[in-house]
Amino acid sequence: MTLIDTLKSTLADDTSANAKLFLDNGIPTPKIEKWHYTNLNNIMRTTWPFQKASHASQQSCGESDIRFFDGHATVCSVPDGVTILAEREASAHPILQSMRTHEFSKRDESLAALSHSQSTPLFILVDKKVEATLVLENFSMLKESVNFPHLCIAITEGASLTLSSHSHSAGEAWSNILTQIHIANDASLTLMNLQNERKDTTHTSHTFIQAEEGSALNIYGMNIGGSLGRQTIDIELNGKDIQTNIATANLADGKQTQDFTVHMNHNHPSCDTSVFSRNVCRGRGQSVFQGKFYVAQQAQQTDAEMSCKSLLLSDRARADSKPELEIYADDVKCGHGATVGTLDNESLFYLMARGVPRKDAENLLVEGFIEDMLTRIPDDATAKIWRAHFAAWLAATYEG
Amino acid sequence: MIEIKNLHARVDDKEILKGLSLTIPDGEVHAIMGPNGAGKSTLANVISGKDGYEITEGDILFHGQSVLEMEPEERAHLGLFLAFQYPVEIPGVNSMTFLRTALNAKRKANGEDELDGAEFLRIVKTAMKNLKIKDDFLKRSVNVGFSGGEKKRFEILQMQVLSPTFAVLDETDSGLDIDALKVVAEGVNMLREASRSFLVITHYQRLLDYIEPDVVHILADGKIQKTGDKNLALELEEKGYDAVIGDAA
Repeated sequence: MTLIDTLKSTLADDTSANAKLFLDNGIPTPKIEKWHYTNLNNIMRTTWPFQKASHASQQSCGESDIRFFDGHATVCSVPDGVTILAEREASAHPILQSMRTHEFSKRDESLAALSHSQSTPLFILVDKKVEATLVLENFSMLKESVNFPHLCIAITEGASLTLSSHSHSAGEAWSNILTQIHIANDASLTLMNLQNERKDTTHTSHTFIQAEEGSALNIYGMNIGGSLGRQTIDIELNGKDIQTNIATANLADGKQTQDFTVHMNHNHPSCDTSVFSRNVCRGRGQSVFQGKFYVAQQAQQTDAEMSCKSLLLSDRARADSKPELEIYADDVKCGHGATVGTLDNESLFYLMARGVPRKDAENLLVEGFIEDMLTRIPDDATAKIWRAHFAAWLAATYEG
Repeated sequence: MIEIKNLHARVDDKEILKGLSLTIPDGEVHAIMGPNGAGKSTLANVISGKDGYEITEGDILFHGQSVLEMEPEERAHLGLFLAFQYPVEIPGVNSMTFLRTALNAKRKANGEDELDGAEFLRIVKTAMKNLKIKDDFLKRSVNVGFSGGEKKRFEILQMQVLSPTFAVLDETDSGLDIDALKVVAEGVNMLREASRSFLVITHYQRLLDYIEPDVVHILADGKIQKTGDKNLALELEEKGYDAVIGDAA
């Protein structure tokens, strides 16, 4: 019996649409377009049986406001402007209730559906015109377990939330995270997700965002740890004049696969979008970036730009980039660029001619490459933490 | 002292330097002038150890020691410096961090203590003042968004901070207006001293009005064709390469 076998038998009696979607489709394979480059074989081959923690094993949050232990939330502090709702209260809130009852229907969303069917969400309401900041941690403690952290967040008109999250683990696990967010008119969201799991842990996260007129989205993500890190970001722009900035970085070493997949549907006029991706691969590491802009016929004056650069530091490293545009409007400015290359010899020589040893010169160039992404993060404290994680990654080498 | 002896260098199958010999004693400034394709930049690159050149014959001795087998950074640690014709833009690498890394790598290689932030800043600020470089300059990425003049001034700033004993200036005057040229020349002149020598590569005599050379060489067809004093540069300016060195041009 494998993990998947026992997971399916556990779900066999679950008649919900989300459980059914997972049971019908199972783990996505490379035959599914959105999963073409990222192979979840390691989950398919996992031999430990399905188990999930029944409760949070600790009640402390450390430096964070909220900590998920094995998928169960412990709330330690709540800043002004933020309310944590009980399930009963959330059911009276139409938007949060629609998240709670959402039924996934696409084959490529089977893992999000699985998470939805297995989790008890934490409901967060941001309903004051203050700049609220939440620091969140996902921590997998239970060895050989699957955990399903699940957030439902509603940011009401004119409100603002900064959510900084950090995922890590203490033992081999699979973290399958679901985040559903609604951003009302003129509200704003800054989301920063750092994935630095243990090297034998699989991390798949699914973030679904619905944004309304005049809202602002700033999303930053970094994949460093895990045997496989996949962050899917799916955004529906449901109003005009929405500003979106996304910057992601994949760092792949050993046999890691690191993946950011960003799909954005531009459904209304005059939205500005920028997606920026940086990928560094060494050893036999693989990075994946898939970006797609859909621009509907009425979404005139869309201004959307996608840039993806990948750096290969070894012969066996691999970078897959797939920028895609699907445009039905005729008065838009949309562009994408993707490059894959090695370190620039002219730059290396310049640094070495000044006395910087080769290894240090190479590291400086890789740092510069990622700094271009880090410098976009508006929150200096978070940028500093990510910079430190990246520096540790750069200094270490491992065969995983 | 740097001695270049019968140097032959190829790129792919093409021989660029064809037996070049040159000796620059400590304290002297030598200029090399020459037409396009003479091998001027190849000479600069070969001295500093850039990949892609095959040395088939000859040697380069720095204070009696051959540098040909050394990596570029080892040559820099010995005191060699190349001011680039086209300084490279390196996005994301902070200019100050780069300069401090370079200086400390050199100090470490020479058995000296690495400098702390305050000591380093003092050295850099002095050099920046000399070269009329603004304070915010070093907060930017290396050469990114620098004007042509700023790039060349940054080259000279690096030279002042790293304090080499032999510096090659590869067409440092190209792309400079007259004011920037004067600033750069003053920056070089400040460093002239008995223990330091320079090789100034240029197309035009103009730079040599400001950095007065002890010796002028004409390089054409991969060899030194003629050597003289500063008047040779004036003669060249007046008559052109054809008239001064004949067929080799």
